[in-house]
Amino acid sequence: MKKHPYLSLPHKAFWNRSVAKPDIKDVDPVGIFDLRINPETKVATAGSCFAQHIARHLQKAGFNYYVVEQGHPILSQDIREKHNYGVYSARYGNIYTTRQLIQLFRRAYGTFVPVEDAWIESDGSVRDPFRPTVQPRGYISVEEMHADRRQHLAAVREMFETTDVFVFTLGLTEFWMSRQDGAVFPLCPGVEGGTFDSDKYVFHNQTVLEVVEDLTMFVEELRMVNKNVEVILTVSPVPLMATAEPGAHVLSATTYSKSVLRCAAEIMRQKYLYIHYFPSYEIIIGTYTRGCYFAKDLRGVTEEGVSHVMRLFLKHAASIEADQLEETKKQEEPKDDFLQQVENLVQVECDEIALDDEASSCKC
Amino acid sequence: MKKRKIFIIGDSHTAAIKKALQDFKSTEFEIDVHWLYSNKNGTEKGNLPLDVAIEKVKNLAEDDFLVISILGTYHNIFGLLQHQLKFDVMTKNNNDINQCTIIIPYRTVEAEFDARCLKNKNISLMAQNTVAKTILLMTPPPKEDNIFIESKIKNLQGKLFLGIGINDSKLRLSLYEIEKESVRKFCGKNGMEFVGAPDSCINNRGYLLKEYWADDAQHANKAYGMKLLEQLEFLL
Repeated sequence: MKKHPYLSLPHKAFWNRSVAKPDIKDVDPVGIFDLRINPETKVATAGSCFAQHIARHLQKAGFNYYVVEQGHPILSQDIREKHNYGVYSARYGNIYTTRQLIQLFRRAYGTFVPVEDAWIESDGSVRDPFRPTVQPRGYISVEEMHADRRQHLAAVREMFETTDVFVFTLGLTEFWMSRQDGAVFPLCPGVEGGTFDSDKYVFHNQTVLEVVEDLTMFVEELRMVNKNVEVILTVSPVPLMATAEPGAHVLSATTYSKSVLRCAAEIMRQKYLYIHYFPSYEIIIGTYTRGCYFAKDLRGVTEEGVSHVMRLFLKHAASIEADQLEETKKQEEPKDDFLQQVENLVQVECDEIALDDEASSCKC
Repeated sequence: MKKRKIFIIGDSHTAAIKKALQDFKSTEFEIDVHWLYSNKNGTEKGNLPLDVAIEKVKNLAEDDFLVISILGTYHNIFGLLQHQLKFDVMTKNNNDINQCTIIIPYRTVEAEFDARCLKNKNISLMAQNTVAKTILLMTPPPKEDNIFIESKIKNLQGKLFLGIGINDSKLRLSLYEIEKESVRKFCGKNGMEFVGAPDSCINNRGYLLKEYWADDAQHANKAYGMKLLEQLEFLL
């Protein structure tokens, strides 16, 4: 009788049994994932645009999607959403790279202060170079940008210090940075704010070693301010919109980026007990889907794809099966009745004026 | 010669105009002023229901004027009283903010007020049903004296309100100015003319001069109404 290690491996170790044969919806590529969350677990998110889906679904499923920078409750929910409050756990916008992540952390704690401070646009509006799209129509002054940045970074610190779980979606390896101090911008200057100047900015495409180094610094510094935090890494399946890698085709550049990020995530998972990898990338792009989890542009992820990711996440992280998953009512924030109270007061003054009103109409 | 008509309709801020009209004589215009009827939670205000108002504006001629005084009150709801979470708004003229408050970016407040303008459908309904020129009249600027305002709020018995006090006058003025621009933009987008508060009623810091205060937190008085009518007569 043959004897070899493969005989004792579970079904998930075999392609035919766990990828080729099952129905699409039954494919579950989760490997080792031993983190458990419950509805009280504070789960903060950051990352590239795919991370927004995770945040949204967590909330819908009744879990504690942790948002520290919610925007003032006097603002309507609609305006807060449009002004990017609550999209992520703090109002940092998309964080595409690990370099951006470690720099955000260090900016929040004052250990890295970029030389580049504010972008002043031709219409006089001001943008934060490190959050260029977060404030629609920009800030009205550098002072206002500074004030908002201060309160934002305070929220970032609070988030890092108090969250139970931090989910980071790795998106890109390519970035543009300042030649002066290495500050990394979420978007190439000139794309959404700022002015491109090749003397000031340079392109860089990270290697596995660099991504691992960034993540190592980040998690070790994070654990110094939050010693019990657990970290989930996941790789965004969304391909690059464009590559600035000289001579590269965007498809190859995408494969490179995602490979680097996937390798780095695995290295980190193996190195630290508190780092977990969740296979969002594999769930969406795995060949078993025949591409059905991508929208027509072959970049956007369909809702079915996102649902598959989140169904498996909740199955493994919270032991919730699909049939147990009821879409809970969106946890409405407790309605701030301040406006209603003031409106009542204002109406009372209108009553007083009305009582004083002698004529029902008057002509001259 | 037949006088041209000015048909004024709005909310509680029309009361000052109505009082002024008792003494205001125009040689050129026949002026009619109404408070648009509303019934909120059983509390009725105003004298002219919307459907009747629409019938009246339909009868205005091309050289008549429909003057609407409805928008421009949200700055008081938003910012008269201090929220438990104090906030402040920086403007180009006012960078001086309390570091212990939450800063709401200017463009975010602006977006809130812009959205508020769009919520009111009565203005469009009236404007669409008349051939007369439509003018939107801005509300008077805020009163500067917080002690005065606080004394008026406290006297309103039986009505509870949250808040620690009255917001700083600079913030209240900033909110008024932001709302004024929202109303102005609304007018521009909807083919209406914007008319602000008369300059002669405003002090050099932008607040309503004391001689034009009604005896409450928000409204202006009969003398202000007179100035408004004089302004309208001059402009039209």
